[in-house]
Amino acid sequence: MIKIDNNKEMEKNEQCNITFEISKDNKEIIRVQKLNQNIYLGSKYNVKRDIDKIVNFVKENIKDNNIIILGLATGEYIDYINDFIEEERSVLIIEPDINIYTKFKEKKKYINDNIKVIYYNIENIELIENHFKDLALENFKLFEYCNYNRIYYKIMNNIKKKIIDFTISSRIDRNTSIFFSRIWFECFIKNIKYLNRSKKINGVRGLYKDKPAIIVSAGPSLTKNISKLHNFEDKALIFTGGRTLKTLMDEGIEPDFLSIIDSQELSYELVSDVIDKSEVTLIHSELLPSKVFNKHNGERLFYSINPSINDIVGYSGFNAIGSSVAHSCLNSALYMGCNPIIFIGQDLAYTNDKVHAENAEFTKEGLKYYEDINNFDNDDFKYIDDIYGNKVKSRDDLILFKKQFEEIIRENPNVTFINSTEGGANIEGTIVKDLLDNTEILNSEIKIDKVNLSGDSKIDIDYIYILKKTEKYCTEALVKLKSAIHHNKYYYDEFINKGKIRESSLKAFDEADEFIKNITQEISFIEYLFADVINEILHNPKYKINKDDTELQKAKRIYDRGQYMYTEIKKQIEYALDIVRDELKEIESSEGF
Amino acid sequence: MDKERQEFIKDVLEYIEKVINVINKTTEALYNENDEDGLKNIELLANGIDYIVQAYLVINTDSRFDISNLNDQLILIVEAIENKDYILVADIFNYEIKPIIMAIMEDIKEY
Repeated sequence: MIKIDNNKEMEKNEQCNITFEISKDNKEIIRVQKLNQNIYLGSKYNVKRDIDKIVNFVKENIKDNNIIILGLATGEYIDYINDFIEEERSVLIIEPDINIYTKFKEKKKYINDNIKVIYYNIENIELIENHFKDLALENFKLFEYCNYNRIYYKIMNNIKKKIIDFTISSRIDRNTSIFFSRIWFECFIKNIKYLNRSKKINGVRGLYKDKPAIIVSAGPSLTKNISKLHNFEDKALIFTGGRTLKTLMDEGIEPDFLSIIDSQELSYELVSDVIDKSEVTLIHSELLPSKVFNKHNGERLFYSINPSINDIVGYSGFNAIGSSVAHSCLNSALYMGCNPIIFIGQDLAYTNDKVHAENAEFTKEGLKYYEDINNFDNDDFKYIDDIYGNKVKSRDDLILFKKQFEEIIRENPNVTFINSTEGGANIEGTIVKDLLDNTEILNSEIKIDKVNLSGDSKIDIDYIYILKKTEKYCTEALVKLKSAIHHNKYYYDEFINKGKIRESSLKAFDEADEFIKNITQEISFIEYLFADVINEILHNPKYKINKDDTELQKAKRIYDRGQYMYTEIKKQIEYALDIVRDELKEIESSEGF
Repeated sequence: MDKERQEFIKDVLEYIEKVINVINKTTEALYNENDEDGLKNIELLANGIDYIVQAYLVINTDSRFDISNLNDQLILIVEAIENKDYILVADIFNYEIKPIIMAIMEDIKEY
C-alpha cells in the first residue's frame, strides 16, 4: 500500500541544531544550523528592533483581536507583552523547532495566563486545532517573527495552511450552524417519533471486518465507470449518497447503504422518485427530511451528531467528521470495519468544467441553481493537483472535503484506500487504480451477506414525554426572558439618571441567565438554538467590557449585551415552542406513521 | 589644492553618496525579505566599496582608518550570503560598512 505522508518528509528536512549567542546589542540570540547553513533568528546586531516590531504589533492589535505569533525565538519579547494582554484576549505562540521550545521551557519564564506557547509537530495537530477553537478565529491577527519563514519554510507553510483550513472550516461550520440551527431543531422535533423504527448504528460496528467497500459519489467522472460496478455486486458493499441512488438504480445496481446527512428539501427531492422502490439500508442522523422516513422501506441505522441526543439514544462512538455525504459513507464503511475502501466518482474538482456527473445532475426547477457552475465567481476557483499530476480546477469547499478525506485516511493507517475515480483531484493516501484493476476483489469467491441486526440495537424513546418537557421549558423561559428584557431597559435608564441598579432588575437577569444555562439533560438539545447568540456575545468586541471603559461605557455594554441576548434567545424560544406545539398536535391527531 | 584634485574629491564624495544610497536600499529590501531586490546590487556595492577605498588611499595616503576591517566585513558578507542569512548581510552593511564609508566621507571632506 502506498502511504503518502508529506508532513513526515517535511519534518525530516527541517532538523536543526541551535546555539545561543549574545547579540551586538547585548541580548540573547539564537543561531540555527540547518543542513550546511548557519542563520541567525533575527538580527545579530539589533535584537531590540525585532522585539520592538512584535511588541508594537501586539500593542496595536490586542484590543480587538486575538493574536497568533509564529516563532518563539528566545522568548524575550514575551517579557514585554505580558503586561498588556487584555483579559478577554489571547496570544498563541507556535514554535516549530523542538530545541528552541525545550530551551524556553527550561527557563521557566513567567508568562501571562492569556499567553500560550506550543510546539507544533505532526503528532499534536489536534492540540493546535483546539487552540484555534479557543481563539475564535474570526478576530485574530497573525505575526511571523523575524526570518522564521526563511529558516523553517516547510513547517511554517504547513502551520499557515492549517490556520487557513481551520478558518475556512470554522466559517463554513459557523455559517452552517447559524443557517441551520432552526432547521436542525425543526428536523429533530419532527423526526424524533421515527427514531424508534431505526436501530442504533452500534449494532454494525466491525460487523463487516475486512470486507471491501465502494463509495459512490456524483463527481463528473462517475459516468466513465459506473457500469463496471456490476462486477462487484455481492463482492463489495456499495455505499451511496442521495444523489447517486437513482443513478445506481437506473444502472440496475442495488446499493447496500444509503447515507443522507442533511435536512434540506433537496436531500428528499434527490431520492423521492426511487427510495420506495429500494430495500437499501438507510444510515442517518437526526438530520434528514421527515418525508424520507415516510417513503423508505428498508432497514435504518441511526447515529447522533449532537452530543445532547446521545443522552437520549446512547453513545455510538460513530465518527461523524467531514462535511459531505461521501464522508459519512466513508465513516460508515470504516465503522463497519470495511477494508479496502474504494472511491468512484470522487472528483472533488471541476473535471472538464462539470461539477456533477451527467447522469447525476439534478433537474428539478427551483433547485437546479445549485447545479450550475456558472453561479460561482471565478475568484472561488483554485487549481490543485489531479490524479495524473496535472492541474485541475476546484473550489474551497471541495478542497476542504479533500483535506477531510486525507485526514480520515491518515487516521486509519491499517486500511487500504483506493481511488478508482477516472479523473479529478488526487487524494493523498489513496492508491490510484482503475476500478477493474481491483482484481483481488473481483476474483474473490467470497460473497458478502448482509447481516440482520440484533434486538440490542433497538432504540426506545418516549418522544411524547420529551416533546412535552420541551414545551414546558419553553413556556417558562419566555416568562423569564420577557421580564429580563423589561428590566434591562429600566436598568440602563436608572443607571444614567440615578447612578444605581435595582435589586429586582438584577434578580430578573439572574433568573433568566440561570434558566438559559441550566437546561435538563433530556432536553439539552434546545441549547443548539442559542449557540450562535452566545457565540456572538462571547466574541463580538462590541459586547466586551474593557479595562479602560468608563462606568457609563460598561453600563452601556451590559445593556447592549442583555438587549441582544435576551431578545434573540426569546425569538428562538418562541420559534421552538411553535414547532413543538405543532408536532404534538400532529401526533395527537395522527393514526400512526 | 589644485583644480584637478578638487574635481576628483568632489566626484568621489558624490560617488560615496550614491553608494550609501544603494546600501540603504539594499538593507531595506533585505530587512523586508525582498531578497531579489536586495541581492541584485551586492556585486555592484562590492565594486563600489573597492573604488571608494582606492580613491580614499589616493586622496589620503596616510589613512587614519582601519581599512582591513572593511575587508573583513566584506568577507563576512560573503559568508552570510552563503548561509542565506540575508538579515545578517543587511546588518553588516548597515552597522559595519556604512559607518566606515561615512567616516571616510567625512574625512575626505576635510581635504
